[in-house]
Amino acid sequence: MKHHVAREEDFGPGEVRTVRGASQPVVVICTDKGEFRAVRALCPHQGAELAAGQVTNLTVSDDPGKYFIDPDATVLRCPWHSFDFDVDSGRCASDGKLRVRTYPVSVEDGDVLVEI
Amino acid sequence: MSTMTAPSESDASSATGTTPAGLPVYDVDVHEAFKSLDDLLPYLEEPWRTLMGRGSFKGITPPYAKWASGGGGRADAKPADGGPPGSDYDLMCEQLMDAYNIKKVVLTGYFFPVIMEDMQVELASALAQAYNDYQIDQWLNRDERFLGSVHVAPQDPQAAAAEIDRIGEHPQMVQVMLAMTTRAYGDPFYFPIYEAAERRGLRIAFHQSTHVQGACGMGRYYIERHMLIPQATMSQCISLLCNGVFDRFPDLRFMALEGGWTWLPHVLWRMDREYRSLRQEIPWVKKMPSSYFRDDKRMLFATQPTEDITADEWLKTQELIGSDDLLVFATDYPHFDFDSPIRSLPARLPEDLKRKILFDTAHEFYGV
Repeated sequence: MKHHVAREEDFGPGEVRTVRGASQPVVVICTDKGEFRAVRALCPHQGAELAAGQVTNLTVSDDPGKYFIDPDATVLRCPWHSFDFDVDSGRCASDGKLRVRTYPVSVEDGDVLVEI
Repeated sequence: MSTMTAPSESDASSATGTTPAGLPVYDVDVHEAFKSLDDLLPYLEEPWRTLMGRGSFKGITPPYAKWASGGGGRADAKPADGGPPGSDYDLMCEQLMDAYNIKKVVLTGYFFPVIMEDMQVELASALAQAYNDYQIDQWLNRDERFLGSVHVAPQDPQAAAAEIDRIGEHPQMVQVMLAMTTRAYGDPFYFPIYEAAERRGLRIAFHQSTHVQGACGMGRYYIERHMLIPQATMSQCISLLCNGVFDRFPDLRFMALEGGWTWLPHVLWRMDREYRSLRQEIPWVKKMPSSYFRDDKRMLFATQPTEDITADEWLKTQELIGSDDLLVFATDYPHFDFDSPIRSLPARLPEDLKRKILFDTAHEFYGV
């Protein structure tokens, strides 16, 4: 079932929106490229609400002391313990055994819709 | 437990004889010693030989008195010639190598130029070089059961790397000795040492020095400092991990001597917890921290000084660690807290585990 989240023009990069009226707690994220992703809204670690999390990009490096930001890897960082969840796969960047469920998002006639 | 002058370090009561079921022993921590700094003179280059020859350097002594019966050493390990414990090859054979079923002995010295800190680093490096030549000449050449440690002054990493390149391929050299003071050896400052060790196929060993400290300093008493040593080893584990040493140097493996091991469950759990939260700060660390230890066996831990725990307590702790492949046996001969190969391990440990600890794991680790 598709749920309306927001109008595309009202939903900017870095924002997180909670899906209202759905059977599952789900949040939708707008990446810094303006793309939309949806994940389950509760952190699998201790149940924090990811709606208060930070949308950012993954730090990567093969060289101690040097940091690179991966423009292609957007993560939702949990507001409690800062676990990073890849918004594409739902997988926790620091512990592959943890993941949040992902949901398909579409934009139809300017409306951001998530299928739950 | 010794000094930069002449290591003087005891347990006079241990029975000798064969290990249970005649198990072979690979002793990873034995402290050979020179009789005095003068023993290094033939191996020193100028201007250091002349300088040392006129007594201008007395070494560095630890800032505490020792209450044990033999000082830092076994009281029965003092040679008849008055030299310090560990300075007499024949006595070492009699009390250690021939007394037990010892197949290999890793010499670890106790002459650690790192305790000169940042003063006169050229002299510190020259002393390390002289000590290595002394070790090869007077010890390694004498008995093929001996394996050696390349001693360096890590306060000058480039000189240390050059020294590793100079003698690192000696067939009996198996590791580089990084003695612990207050230095956190994961710092990229030390990477030239790791590059050289990897280049020469050597392991890295950590051992406490007279200047090692705990998190709140050295402590007021010698016993206090001795209780604090594991903190320094924990710090090295954490430093190596967080600075990406395990990832940057994938072929390097480490040996932790005299730092204990029963604390590992806590440290591994704590590392993993912190990593789950704060990985973004150390993205060069690619895996869950505990996996570098538990799965990859990047660091082994010598049993000496073995806590007085039961076989059940030992096995439970090992189960919490999640591996029985991380422990190797050490006597720490000739020091006062010597562990007897036949008395220190709990008698009720399974025979196959004893075999791994006493010999197999170290044999695999050093490849000799």
